[in-house]
Amino acid sequence: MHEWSLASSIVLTTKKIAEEKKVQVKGVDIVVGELSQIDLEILRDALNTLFKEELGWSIDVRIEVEKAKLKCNTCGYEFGFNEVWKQIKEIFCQDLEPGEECENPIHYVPELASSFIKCPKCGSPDLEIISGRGVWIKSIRVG
Amino acid sequence: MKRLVDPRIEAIRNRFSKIKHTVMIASGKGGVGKSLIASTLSLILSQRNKAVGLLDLDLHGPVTHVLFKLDEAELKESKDGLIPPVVNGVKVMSLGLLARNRPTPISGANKRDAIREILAVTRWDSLDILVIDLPPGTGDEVLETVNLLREKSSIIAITTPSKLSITVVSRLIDLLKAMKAHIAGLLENMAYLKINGTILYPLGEPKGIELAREKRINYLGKLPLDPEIPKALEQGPRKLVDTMFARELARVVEVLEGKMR
Repeated sequence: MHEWSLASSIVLTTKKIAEEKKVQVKGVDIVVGELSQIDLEILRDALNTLFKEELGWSIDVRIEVEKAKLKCNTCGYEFGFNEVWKQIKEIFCQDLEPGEECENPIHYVPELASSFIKCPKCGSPDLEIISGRGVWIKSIRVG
Repeated sequence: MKRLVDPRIEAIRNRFSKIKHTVMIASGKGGVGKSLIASTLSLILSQRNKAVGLLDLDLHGPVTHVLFKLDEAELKESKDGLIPPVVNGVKVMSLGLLARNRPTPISGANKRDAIREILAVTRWDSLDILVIDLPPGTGDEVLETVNLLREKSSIIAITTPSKLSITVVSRLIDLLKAMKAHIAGLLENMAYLKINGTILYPLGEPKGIELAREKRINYLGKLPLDPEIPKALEQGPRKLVDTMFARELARVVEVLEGKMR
């Protein structure tokens, strides 16, 4: 849902780095954490639009998804988001029509995962996010 | 150029460029009335026609949304972030709104990420003042918030007259000074109880002024233990500003003006 504000912050950050380093940007590589549940197409469109309209840049935008890995601090079990997705759906999206998006607060604040999901092995909510959160600029390709 | 860059930093800078003043309410320990002060302060400022926001950054015990009688359904989503609900003219954002009153067992480095996320995702638009209710102590959340917002913010340190509170707020002040944060002053809550014209000191004689002098910071004043508060809280935020507590806090607002960054 907030893909446009994410795109805006990526554009602002890239512009700032380009100005600081006095370089011409050819492309950016973005990493999107799976927990953020970002709509990649919307993010890509927003980035292309904002780079073009705000800065006049036509650059190559590449986006990769980092798989989420969570660790239970109680029993040590490590698991992926797919193992607990059912728990999210049961809380937020039981009455969804097919094709409808399952909106949930983890999209905005991935650290809230432990408020809504439990370790699939022991049931503890004491979880740690090891990977797959947030959005990062991995690299900026310059000319 | 390969480096992992966090775009939230620029997002936060951009959001806060539209906010004239940020005031953080901090304390060394919990239970000193920080959330009540932050909430009442924001209501008083709103009554004075200021555009005010209230942000509860207590990750483990957010309560301001309860004080404002809000629930998660009132947090609106937009393509440019989350829009806080408005109550009595105050825009209110709390992790409690997103967590749906569930426990928030956020640990370690995840706390710093949660703070960045909330600051980056909340759409305040233009504000005269944003009041931030910090969690008690000197943990990750406080350090991260102060680090991110230090340049444009002021901090009010809250204590009660109790020796325990004075001891820990003293450490907090030392830490904030070491971080080069701007401390607007020390405010002493639960300093006295007035019953039938008689003043009592249930937590001991106020000592905040001595601490403020020792630390060379402003002493912003004393607030009472007000028996009207529990009833006012039940009735909602509109009643909160009619209490003796709020009237005394309104005097602090006069003192505060000119001491904010």
